[in-house]
Amino acid sequence: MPFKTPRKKIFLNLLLLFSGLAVLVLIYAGLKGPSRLSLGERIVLKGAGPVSKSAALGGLGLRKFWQKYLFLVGVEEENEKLRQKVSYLEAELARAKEAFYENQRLRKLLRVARDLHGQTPVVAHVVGKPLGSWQGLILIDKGLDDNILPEMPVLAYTPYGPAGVVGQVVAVERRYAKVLLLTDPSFAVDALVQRSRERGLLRGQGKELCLLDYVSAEADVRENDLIVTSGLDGIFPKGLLLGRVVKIYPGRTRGLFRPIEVKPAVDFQKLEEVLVLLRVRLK
Amino acid sequence: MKKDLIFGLSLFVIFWFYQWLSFLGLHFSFDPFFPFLLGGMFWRLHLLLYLFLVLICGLVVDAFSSLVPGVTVIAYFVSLFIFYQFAKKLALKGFFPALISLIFTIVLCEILRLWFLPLVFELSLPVYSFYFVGKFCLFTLFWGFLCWSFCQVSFMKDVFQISIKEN
Repeated sequence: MPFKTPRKKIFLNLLLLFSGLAVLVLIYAGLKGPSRLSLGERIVLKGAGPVSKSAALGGLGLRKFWQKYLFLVGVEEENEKLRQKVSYLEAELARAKEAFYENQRLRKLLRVARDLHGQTPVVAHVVGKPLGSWQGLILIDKGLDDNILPEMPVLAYTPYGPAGVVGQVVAVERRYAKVLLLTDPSFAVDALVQRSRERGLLRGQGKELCLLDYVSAEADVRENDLIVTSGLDGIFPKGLLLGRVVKIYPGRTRGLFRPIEVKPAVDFQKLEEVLVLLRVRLK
Repeated sequence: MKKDLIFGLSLFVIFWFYQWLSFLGLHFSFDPFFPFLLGGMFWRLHLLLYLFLVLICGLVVDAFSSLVPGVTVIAYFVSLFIFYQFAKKLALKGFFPALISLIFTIVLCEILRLWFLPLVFELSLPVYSFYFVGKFCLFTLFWGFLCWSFCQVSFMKDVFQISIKEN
């Protein structure tokens, strides 16, 4: 069989070529669609989603069991309740202050008090965390089937109601959605210092930290000031709690501006459930 | 067939445990799949199945933790190809060359995956991106050594077999 080797070679080359093409199709096909997930990612999520969900349920179950029954039964429970209470009070305070400032500026045109969370929210469970990456992404168990679309705002859920901004949906599959966290460097939201109404752009900085940028060096900002959404980006409703100022860099560190470090209001390590607001920006 | 099944199952278990530990509150900054895939090169699996598993692992990592598609898949394939060249051309003569090529490949893969390719796709990097990438490289290396020492006895065996044959 003199032609066996060249034929085999051609066959192998063709196989390699088709495999390469198939890989490219899996990686990049379907990105322009409304889901913004590639074909490969959608297929993989269908299979890996339930597996990750089972791991999430197992991990959370064991953690709850450990925290509530085995490790300092009373203290841990009380701490958790107090933390929830503080979180609730902070959210309430942010909302109350927001209403107070609005009244103070005599916004009479506002006839009906705008309910910040008036849109129909969808409750979703966190079922996936980043796999070996610094990127701030989580996977939730609601997707296109529940009318979730990219760009929708995601808030943290407590027994008392939404406490603060978690991030926004970036890609969806039928039953799952990928959420970009507030702390990811690609995330940015128009923000206000609640007390002084100074405006800036809140950007993620990586692990558990954000930076309020483009705030004038002369702006009135103090440590522990609350940062809320301004509503000017058209995605997040106004007045949602983003975080608290933890550090103000002295002087004009960045030209005319003074960067301000902000700690997010939501504890991303303990995130179990989130609320997705069914709200999209009109283009 | 048995080896293929064990390898695939191991990847599944690694994925499940990584997520399980994350939700338990123990988050580790390392790449759980790559060192294992690297070792898998010496398991003499069916080539197409092995490549398919590499693709699936890359897609899973991208689906769960990347804002842009394909960065992990590309990084895995490029790094594995380079490691294959190390194994083929240098024949990993003995423990030290094998160790150096392991370190080189893991560092290369993590830099590609976490720094270079996100930059190519114009993603914003965190402020201390070198710190983050360095940390991931270091912990992935530790995991690589663990895989090497405990999980992949055949890898060790094959490396030394190659060195014996070569010598």
